[in-house]
Amino acid sequence: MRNRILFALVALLLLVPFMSAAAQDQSIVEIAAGNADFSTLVSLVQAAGLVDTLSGEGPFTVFAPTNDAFAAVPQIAVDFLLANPDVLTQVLTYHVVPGKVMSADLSSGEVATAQGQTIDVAVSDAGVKINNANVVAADIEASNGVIHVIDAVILPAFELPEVDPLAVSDNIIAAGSSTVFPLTERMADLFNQDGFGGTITVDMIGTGAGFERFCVNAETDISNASRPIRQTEIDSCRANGLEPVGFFVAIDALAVAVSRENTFVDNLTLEQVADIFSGKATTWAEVNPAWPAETIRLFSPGSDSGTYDYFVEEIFDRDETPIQNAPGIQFSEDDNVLVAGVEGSPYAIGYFGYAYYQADQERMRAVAIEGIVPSEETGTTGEYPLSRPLFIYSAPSIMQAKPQVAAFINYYLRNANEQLGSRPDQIGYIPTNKYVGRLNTVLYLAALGK
Amino acid sequence: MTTTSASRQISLADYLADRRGRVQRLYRRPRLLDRAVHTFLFLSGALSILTTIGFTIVLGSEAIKFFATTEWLNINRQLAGAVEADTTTFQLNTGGSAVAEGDLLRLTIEETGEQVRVTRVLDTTTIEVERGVNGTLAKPHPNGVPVFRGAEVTLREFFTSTRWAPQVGNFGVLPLVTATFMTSLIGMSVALPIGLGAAIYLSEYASPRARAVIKPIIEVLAGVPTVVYGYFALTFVTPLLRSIFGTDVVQVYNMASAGLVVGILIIPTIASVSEDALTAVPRSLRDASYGMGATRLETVTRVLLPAALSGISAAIILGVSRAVGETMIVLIAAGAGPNFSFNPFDNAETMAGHIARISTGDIARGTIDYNSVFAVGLTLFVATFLLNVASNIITRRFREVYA
Amino acid sequence: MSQVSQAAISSPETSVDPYVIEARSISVFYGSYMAVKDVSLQIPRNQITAFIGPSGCGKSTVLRVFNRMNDLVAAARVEGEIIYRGENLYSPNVDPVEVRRRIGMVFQKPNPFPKSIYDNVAYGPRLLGIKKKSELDDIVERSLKGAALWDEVKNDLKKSGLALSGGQQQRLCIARTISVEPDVILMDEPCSALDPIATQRIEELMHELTERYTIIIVTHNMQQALRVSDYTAFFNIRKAGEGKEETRWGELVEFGETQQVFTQPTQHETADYISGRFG
Repeated sequence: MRNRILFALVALLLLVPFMSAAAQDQSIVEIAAGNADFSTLVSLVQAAGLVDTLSGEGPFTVFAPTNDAFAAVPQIAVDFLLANPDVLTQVLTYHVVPGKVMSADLSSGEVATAQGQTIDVAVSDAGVKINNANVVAADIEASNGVIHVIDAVILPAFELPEVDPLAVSDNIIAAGSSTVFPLTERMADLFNQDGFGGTITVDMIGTGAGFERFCVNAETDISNASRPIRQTEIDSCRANGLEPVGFFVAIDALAVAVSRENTFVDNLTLEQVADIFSGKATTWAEVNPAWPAETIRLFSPGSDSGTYDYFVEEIFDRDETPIQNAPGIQFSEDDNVLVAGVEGSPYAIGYFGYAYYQADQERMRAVAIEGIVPSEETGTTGEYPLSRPLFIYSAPSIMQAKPQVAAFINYYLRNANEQLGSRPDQIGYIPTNKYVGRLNTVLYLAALGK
Repeated sequence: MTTTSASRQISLADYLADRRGRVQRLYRRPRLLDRAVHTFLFLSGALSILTTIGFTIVLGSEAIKFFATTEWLNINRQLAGAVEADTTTFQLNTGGSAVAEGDLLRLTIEETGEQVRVTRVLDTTTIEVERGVNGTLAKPHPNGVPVFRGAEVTLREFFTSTRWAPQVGNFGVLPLVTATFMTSLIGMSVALPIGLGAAIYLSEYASPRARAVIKPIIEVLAGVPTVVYGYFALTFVTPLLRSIFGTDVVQVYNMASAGLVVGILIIPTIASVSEDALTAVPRSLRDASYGMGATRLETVTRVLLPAALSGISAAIILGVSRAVGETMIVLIAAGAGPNFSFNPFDNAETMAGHIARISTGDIARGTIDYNSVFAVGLTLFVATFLLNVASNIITRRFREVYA
Repeated sequence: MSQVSQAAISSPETSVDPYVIEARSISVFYGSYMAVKDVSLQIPRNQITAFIGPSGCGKSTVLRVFNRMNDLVAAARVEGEIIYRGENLYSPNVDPVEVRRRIGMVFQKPNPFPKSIYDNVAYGPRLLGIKKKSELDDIVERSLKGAALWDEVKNDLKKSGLALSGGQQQRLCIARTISVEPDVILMDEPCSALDPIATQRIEELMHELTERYTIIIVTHNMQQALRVSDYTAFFNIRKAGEGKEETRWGELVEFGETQQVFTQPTQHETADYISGRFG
């Protein structure tokens, strides 16, 4: 997350001098075409046949995503856009607002686009946000309008096709992350309740094993994952003729938690977390001299869990040597073991999926990381350093061959958010926002090739 | 001899054969049922032996894979400068983990990449190496090639190192062995006196009626699923210990609690087998002792226990084997990570508990974790076997054989 | 009376009383079943008294009454009195353990402990609290000599008692019994498991033992009773009822000097039994 912001700043520095040199007599398209960083955008504009339109009198305000912004969009969605010019046109025109709106004129609120739907503009001290994108360079004036550079592609809302659970049958097999498991299981139950007659199997075998069954063995229709798919896994999928497509269904945050009896720890830096979980600091006093000189008792999810993977990745840069060598550290795949361990001693510390933390929050207390307390809000914004997206993966070939899988994913995307939250009847992940939902819809349509 | 037949003498066998209409001869007859039963019994015996042999072979062959493993660890270091195929002095970048003399290093990320052996460490960034070891080919490498350290499993490390984290190249099984030893010791210190006491009570003191009630109750204990014992340890014994000794002293997961409950678990084993052994001591020896004016206690300690020693040692070995191999209780209550500690109130993990915990995750075949489980299993197997041998020797030396 | 001083007594009390132990109206029950009814007799000091009679007549049961071995059978109950040194052995304040230390027993089947010869003999003294090696050595030697076994085993004291022959084992058991210097030795068919030569040695030994001990022997062998005993008590079976109602118990028929019992029995039953046996 921080890297992305850094990159945007660098991009800004590189772009600005060049742009200020751009003559105001060039049109929007000409400016864009003259800049290598907009080559993707330009080629898409050409593919959609919008060159003439955007070269027209206007005036227009264009929110122009950089090449990197497009690169962040899954290839399958890009291919889909290229194959469906009308959809592409809608996406591109969604980036265009009629009239010339300089950044100083922007204020928070909804603004209608050329496509017809509105974009959400949020102006704050931190900068300007358009939907889920940040404006990284503003007010590049052209002869027929103005360009604001954004760091992400923004999408209008498309309709998910209506599905009827009663109309499909046969079985669905899902497997993978134990973190995603409760959500997929819930969706499966609801899908059955709403009339689906087939059997939905959901196995809890871990993200990595889930991908192995999905890609290598091709045994499953849906792979639950608590991290994005890795390149090696994509390769093994492709070797098997499967193009994995991931739907971002929820946000999980890791909670670093201590016992309710612990009265001294409020906040830890990521570095302190690393020191603690590597055994570099064996007593609390070594972390902070103001804290008691008692031995730290460490609890960690087992090395097969996605939670562990995620923690090692974030805290130890994928090197598991430090955490594995931490003296006396206890690993368990069973969160209850960890909760009981952390709860039981004021000097214990552990980390959990946010759902499990929420379920047991009377027994534990989450510590702020870098000053940010884990919550739905800080997780959604990505502010909280230890949060991660949860996915369900499938493949176009599977979704096209098995209508029940497509229908289930459709149902999943429509209804998952209602099941997420901190109410007792909900699953304790953070719901995804509507912009994620829009991307999911595009991916869904792309996978079905419609 | 007088018979009823006037003309000839016939035996009962002849008579019966005649009744069946057959002529009785002294030839062998095929006794099919006999032979079938014989074959079945032989097969039953052979099957159990073959199972044991097969089990040992599988365990052994998988464990050998572990000892032949080199685990490549990312030490976050790279070559700082290109090398030719015959360069023996390497410059490494700073940072990452230290490299020591004798270390095996691999250049490039490929599994088949060139391996080199560190012969000298000149300073933190300069090392001398032997090129192309372990059958790999010495090749030129460009600047920035990543360097991996190979952790080789050696028997010496396996039995002497006090750290067990196979994933990151620590292969010392001792923490698991000491934890097994601790929980078994604690278990036996509970089970032996109580189990033997129960056996003595049942065989020498209890009235037939008390015996008829108590013995089945003790044996029911043996039928309780061990997972129940595990949660009994975690939710009853541990809080009890923590309330007595303080929560700062007794950890949530600790060896003492697990050990005590393992002890309770094996009480029936010890009690039942010992009681059989005591009951089997002939009445005449009791008479002899009582006839000499011995009290019950004297008779038990001076005559019955020595005479039943071999049976009691069998009970103890059975109990120890059970304690050493007990999985569920230690898995639930003792802790979930190897810890080289002799403090009974500390958490630690036994061999069986470790195998169970590692195996319940999604362990992938062929990984170091997978193979390590077999190595630990083999250690457990050998330990139990040695225990049996030792007990046989001890028993043979000290037992009193009654004719 | 302390145990040690009792063990240290070198010879039985030489009181005026010619009888060492006396049974008064002894009846033995197993549960509701009466095994022996109303037995009274006085055992003369330093003599051998033999109990004879057919199987089931209760002679072994009566023998075991004298040192309260019947206490070890859960359902057994004894009525009547055994008077020993003026005390009733069945009075509630008498400890059977103490009784057995003064009234020793040798069993039908040789039953040495599965221990060394030395430990077998030293068992009793050790129970009495004797720990000193020299003292135990003395007792072991004296007892083995007393049981006429010393010469055969003196070089093998560490050998298991079970490694001896049957006759030697039985003498070892006798040595074990006399190691604590009891007043009375009860012998329950001590030779029934032995061959004639071993039997002869035991019988000779019994004669020697009468110098210091009073012996009561149960035997099914009439010749043996005739050969070894000074007094003989004849027990017989009594029956009552018919069929399922039938009950049997043992009673003392005749008691007197052996010569008199065998040659001039006062009871027909005795005469019938003896003549039948010799017949």
